[in-house]
Amino acid sequence: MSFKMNKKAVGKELLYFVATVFIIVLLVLFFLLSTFFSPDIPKITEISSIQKEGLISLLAFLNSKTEVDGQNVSMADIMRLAQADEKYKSKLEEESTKIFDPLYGKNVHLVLSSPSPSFYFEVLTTPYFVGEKSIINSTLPSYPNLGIWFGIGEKWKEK
Amino acid sequence: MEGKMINKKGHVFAIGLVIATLIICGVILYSFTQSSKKIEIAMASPYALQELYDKETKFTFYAEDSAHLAENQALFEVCQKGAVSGLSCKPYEPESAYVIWNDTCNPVLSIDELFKKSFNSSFKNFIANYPDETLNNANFSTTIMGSKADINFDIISLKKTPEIVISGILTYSAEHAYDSSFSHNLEIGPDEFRNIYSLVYAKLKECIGRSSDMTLVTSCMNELNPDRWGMKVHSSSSEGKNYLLFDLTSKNKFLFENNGLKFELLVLKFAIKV
Repeated sequence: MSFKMNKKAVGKELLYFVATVFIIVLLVLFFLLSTFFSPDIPKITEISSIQKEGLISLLAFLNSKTEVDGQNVSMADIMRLAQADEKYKSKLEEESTKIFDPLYGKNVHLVLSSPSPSFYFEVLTTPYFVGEKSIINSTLPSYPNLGIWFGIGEKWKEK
Repeated sequence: MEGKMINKKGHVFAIGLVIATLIICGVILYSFTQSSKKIEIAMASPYALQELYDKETKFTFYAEDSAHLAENQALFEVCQKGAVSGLSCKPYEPESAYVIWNDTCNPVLSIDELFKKSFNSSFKNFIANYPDETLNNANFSTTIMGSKADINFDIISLKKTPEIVISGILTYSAEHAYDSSFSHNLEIGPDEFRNIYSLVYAKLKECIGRSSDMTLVTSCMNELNPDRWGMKVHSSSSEGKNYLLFDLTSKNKFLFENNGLKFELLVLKFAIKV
């Protein structure tokens, strides 16, 4: 008789235990799901801030002037000239490193391509500025346009 | 019998607890996803607006840079034409690179129109090539006074697309009116060419007053030293008349398109009958 009573008591306790575990699992699942469904506000804010900061830095860089052969020339003009002249290309790389490296480490890359005989430079969209590649890719769609800004000639017209 | 009653209550309690928890979780999850959508929409609005401001910043930079390039191109074209235009303007025949300056053909009469025409043409081309349909069709007006070019764009409405639809009823999109006007400081403006004309004629009057000998006049004219230009004068004659030929070379290089992009000194050539 006493054996039967003990078995029932154990069964009841076991049922409560299983129910509690199940509820805990449900709650954990709930939090996981809520995280999945929630908008990533910090990410949106970060993207926004990277975009703004990057744009300001880039425009400040392009507006800045440096001395070449005793004449002050804007970086935007140097970018235009760098396509055909090694002297300007080295100056551009030197200035770009000087300005961007302290701000963004080695994440700013300058690529001068020559898809047509026209003067055209292209700045790669990745891995620009700070943060992850995926963020930069998805948030700086205008970046290739910056390249087009300084293109002169047929290639620019095509774009 | 008493033990069986206790077990039933336990079962009912446990099952009830699980069902209640499931219902509560469901309700919370549903309301959370609904509020998430609202937060997303709320976040999209300032984000979209910021994108519009960025769009404006980039275009402003582009427009200012275009003004700089248009100035360079206009200066090159003006120098190529000897800083004059009009039917009464003729080249100096023995050396056609020089244009004859006189009372009916000189920079005072035509430089404003010539510079503005060239500046506007280049500026318009640059703006038309901007990769945004709303902005590259924008109307603008230019006023060139002294060493400044004032550029005013008409109000452009920058609209963020696609539109955001809330609960299938309310549709909205961020919209921002862009009204750009800016001043571009010209490194060399139309005034510079008027000054050269005045300077050259004043010096010529002084030099002729000293001597009528062409060698001495030429030597005297070479004393002229305009601020932004290096100047060389030499004499020449055509059809029995004496001329002074002027070669002005800018002290700074300019960026212009002439069978490819060039970054070179500008050269202004003109002739004056003595």
